[in-house]
Amino acid sequence: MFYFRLAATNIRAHKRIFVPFLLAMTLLMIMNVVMLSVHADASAIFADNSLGVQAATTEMFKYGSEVMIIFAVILAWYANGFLLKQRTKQLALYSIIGFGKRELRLMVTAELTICAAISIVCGAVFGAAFARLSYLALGKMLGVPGKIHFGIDPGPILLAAGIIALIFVLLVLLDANWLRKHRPLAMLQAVSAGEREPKTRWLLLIVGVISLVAGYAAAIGITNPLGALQWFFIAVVLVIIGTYALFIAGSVFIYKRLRQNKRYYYQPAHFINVANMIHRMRQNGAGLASITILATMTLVTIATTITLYLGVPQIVNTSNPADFQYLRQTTADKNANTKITPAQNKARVATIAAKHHVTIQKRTVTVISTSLPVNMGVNHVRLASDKDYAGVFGPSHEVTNTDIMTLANYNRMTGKHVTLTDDGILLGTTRNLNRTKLVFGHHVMQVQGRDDMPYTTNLSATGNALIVFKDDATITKMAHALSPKLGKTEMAAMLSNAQTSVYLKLKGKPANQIAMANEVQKTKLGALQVQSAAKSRKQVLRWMSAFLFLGILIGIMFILATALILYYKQVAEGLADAKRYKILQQVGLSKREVRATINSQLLTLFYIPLIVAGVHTAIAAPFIQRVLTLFGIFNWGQFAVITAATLGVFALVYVLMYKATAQVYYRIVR
Amino acid sequence: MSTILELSNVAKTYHTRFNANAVHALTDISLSVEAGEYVAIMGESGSGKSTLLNLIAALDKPTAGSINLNGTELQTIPESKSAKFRREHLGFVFQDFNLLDTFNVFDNIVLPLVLSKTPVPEMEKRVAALAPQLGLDDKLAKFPYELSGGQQQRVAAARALITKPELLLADEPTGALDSRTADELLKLFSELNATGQTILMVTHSAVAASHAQRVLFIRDGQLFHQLYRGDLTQDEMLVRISDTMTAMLAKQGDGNTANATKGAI
Repeated sequence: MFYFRLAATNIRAHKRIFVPFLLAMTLLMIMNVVMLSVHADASAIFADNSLGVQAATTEMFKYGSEVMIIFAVILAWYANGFLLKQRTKQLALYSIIGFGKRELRLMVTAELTICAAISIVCGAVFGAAFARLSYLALGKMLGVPGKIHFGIDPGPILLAAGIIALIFVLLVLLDANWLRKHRPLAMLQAVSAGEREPKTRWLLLIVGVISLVAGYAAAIGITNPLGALQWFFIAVVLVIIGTYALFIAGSVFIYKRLRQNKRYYYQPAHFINVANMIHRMRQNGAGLASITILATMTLVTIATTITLYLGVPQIVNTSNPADFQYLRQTTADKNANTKITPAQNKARVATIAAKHHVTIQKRTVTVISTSLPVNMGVNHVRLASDKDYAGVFGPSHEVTNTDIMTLANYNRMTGKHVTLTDDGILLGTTRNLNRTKLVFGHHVMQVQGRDDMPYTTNLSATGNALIVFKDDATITKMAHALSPKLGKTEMAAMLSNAQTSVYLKLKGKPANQIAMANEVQKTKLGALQVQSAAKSRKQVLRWMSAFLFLGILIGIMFILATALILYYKQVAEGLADAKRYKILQQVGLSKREVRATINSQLLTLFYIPLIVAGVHTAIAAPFIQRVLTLFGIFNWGQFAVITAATLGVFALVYVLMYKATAQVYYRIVR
Repeated sequence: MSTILELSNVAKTYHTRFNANAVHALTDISLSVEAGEYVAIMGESGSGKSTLLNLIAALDKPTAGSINLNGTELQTIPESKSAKFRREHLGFVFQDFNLLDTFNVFDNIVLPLVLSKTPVPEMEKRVAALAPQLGLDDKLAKFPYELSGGQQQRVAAARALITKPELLLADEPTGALDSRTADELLKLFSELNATGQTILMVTHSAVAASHAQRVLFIRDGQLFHQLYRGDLTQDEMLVRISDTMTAMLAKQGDGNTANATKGAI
């Protein structure tokens, strides 16, 4: 009990160093609560989506919360180290008045226990409140599904408390080890004796370079976004390790190189900075690396979720080229087991539309003989192979999902009266492939006209094409040329299985269109796979709102953490630099020069994390874009612009946080 | 001999922020230092000697009177130029060395030269000339934490001398040294003086002061007495200094009353 009372006195007496520590640990608790809540409730937040989506997001946030735990350990370590360094004098004092190692250890343990209790309780309360409030405000605004306990689940809060408690146990062990290794009295002299110059840590440097290169290579090289999420996670971990190692070891290496360059080094602007940087990078490399990682995470999370949210129309358009569409199965289809005629189908859909106050503005019927993935090579057209899909930048440009249609069906669909010769075709592609002829085996077909499918889905990263042949006989011939092994019966079966789709252009309120779709689906009128753009827009919007909600939530967490580290760094560096600048002033550096030196040094420290975060984001961008194609967002430019804009806004926020925390620094140095 | 430093009727009054009462650190000081002289200023803590040094170093401005350093009136130097002036005309040695622990010995020595944008070959030439004189030629690559106190103080002296200052100012330079290293440093100062370096040293150590050619005593912000060494040996000088200090301490009581009266006026 004595030690607890002593510890409480200590914490109260040294508010200046304990408050930042408590703040840090509380924030870590908050972040873990939020992250684990997100993980636990991911399936509830995505309740409107398929089980696959729920499972995938749950998995994603599992990785997210693991990264958060790693981050918490690193930051706690850093904060604790800072605390110890600031307290060396105080601990030495205690040992002078007769505290042995055991007593010091008990006292420090009691302090950490009190800190643990405060930060866990405060963190749980604030974390739950923050999660709940943001859910109620932001979530409702974005239309995230209701009726979930987000933020007030006891499970994640208890888990987060457990994690933070374990981290505190780690800190107790670290402190005990520190006390075992150091005699506080000796430390007192060491503090005033100045620091040893850090050596270049070659092993760490090499490890850093290797992990960063490997991480970058993995991030660029993973071309299958769905199957390789765990590989991407490994890439993320490698990049994190690389960033830490390079910030700690690489910076010392670079600054030592700079110092060897006498013409560069012996200039007023560089002299003081380079020497200071060599020393301060050891202490601050880890802090800067943390800022970099957090900034990268913020950028990636927010840019991705904004892209998804803004991409809702694209996502809907790619899967729903028309307002309303269905596969028609009527007596017109040879294999169909139905008595409904095409005319009856048309009339009944029209009746249902009228009932729901929806006007059909245009109706298009397409009959596709077959659909094939082909590689439309300049020399030869061939069936697409696995190799065509596995390029570094996604599937090969020439891979298209090709709809094959007869001329008769084409003319019926368009109402035109086009004629073709025996070796003539009509070609339309979404890929700008300007072919004047296509070669199927030894058949050379002349392109006699161009036209696109009026409605094509664009679900995959491949292009779409329409080839119109003169008749079924020509189609059979070409199919045989593409795949000589196919037997006659299979070929016939394939061609007789022509699909008829009906596309409607509608006018009416989204809610009415959804009601109409639901009724068409329920009524037996020969309409299969009914798709309503209005309906899927509503679903997709909900899904992406959930993403955006989580993105903003986590982004705020990351920004808070960045602010915390910035604050810590400024306090730590201010204390370390105060004496240096006083000496410089006495030696003959004017106040203005001192201020300029500080600024230049702070700015270097300020820009590095931002630049590296930008590079990390740029490297991660291709992979993220590939993930985005899974959702139907193919617009690279849009993602790039949103990422750049996010970077801009983040840089602004960062500047503001920096300005605010730099005041802390100036106040200490002055 | 030409006069290098001339103080006439210098006074310095501090106003503390929460106290209406003014503190008279220096009341009326006039003195002059000739080129090549070695002058020690002695006084107890609080006698005003550090204030005097700060004024001469242009770190602070006097409330009244004028200070002329080698033809330049210090009051006429604007704030923005005072750092440059200090760098070019004055050398500083402090009690606690004030070396930068992030620099090695060479870099610590050339710091003022770098600030004045001296070319690298010139810096190297000057260090090569100066370092052997101070016994630092094999220590240039070392860092301050690797050196003893005496060595560190010699590095600080080298830093002060590298700009070839007209006046070397030393503020209790032996304060943090043991008697043997202190003795070495004082010997070094004498040698420097013998080569023509003007030195103004502030100290409360009678031994340190006994190395100087002239010793000024200040008390309560005023010059109390001065001693010329003339042909005396160092030991004889030490005795004279001790006597003067005894006399000064004996009159302490009178001084206090006098000061109090002045404060009232």
